Amino acid sequence: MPTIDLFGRTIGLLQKSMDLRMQNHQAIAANIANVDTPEYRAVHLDFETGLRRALAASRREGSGGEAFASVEARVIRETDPSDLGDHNSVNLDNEMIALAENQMLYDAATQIINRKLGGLRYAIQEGK
Amino acid sequence: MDVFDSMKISASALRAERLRLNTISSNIANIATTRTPEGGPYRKREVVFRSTDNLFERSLEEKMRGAAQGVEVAEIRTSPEPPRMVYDPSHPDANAEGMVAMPAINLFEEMADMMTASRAYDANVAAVKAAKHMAMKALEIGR
Repeated sequence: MPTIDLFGRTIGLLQKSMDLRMQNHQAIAANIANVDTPEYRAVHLDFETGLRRALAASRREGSGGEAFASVEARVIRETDPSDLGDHNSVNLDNEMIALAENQMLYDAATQIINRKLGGLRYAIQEGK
Repeated sequence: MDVFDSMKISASALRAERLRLNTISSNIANIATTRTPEGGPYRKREVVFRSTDNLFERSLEEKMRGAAQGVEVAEIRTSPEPPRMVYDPSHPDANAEGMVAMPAINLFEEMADMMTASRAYDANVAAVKAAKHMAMKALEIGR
């Protein structure tokens, strides 16, 4: 008997994506905080490839939201390409853009979850 | 929780940048100070930043502990630069040759430093705002 998967793949993916975006925000905040720290190497999180791979696998196997539980962000430390100054590899412009982008995509995820829940509520209330 | 961790990171930076601004203010205020409690002209102060991850000892994300670092002021260093000698025979602290030992502070340098510190402060405020906005959005789920 097929299980009734109320939330399914979408909510699982969005939940994980929000979780990782919050972690990403932490990394961006750390980079901005250390914009003037000598020898500091900027941190970047790579998780989009992991999510994409998990999504493809879950489609192939027909599994639900649990496919995303094990996705983890990969921490990348950037070194300063130039040999000038204090060897700090933070680029404030890039970080501010990443901050805005991350926030917008987080908002988008919450909105899609809200729509999905709204749809479920509509069905539960028999279209009232 | 993640939101508060990222706010802690930004708060540590706000604290450090404010201390840096205070140091710059002190340097500008004392640009012509020839008498100090420790004797001689005022010496320029400089803050030294150091990244820190002991904010996150309790963090759930084991991996983020080394990755997301806050910042703190490691030390406030007194500049070793010798005082600037200015010819001003009428000054009460002038020596026999009429030279006065003035603090070795460059106003342009201080103003430029002040602008960087203030910009960095603004950037951290933006990061706190973004974290707050994200947390509020999460609270709205299912409303």
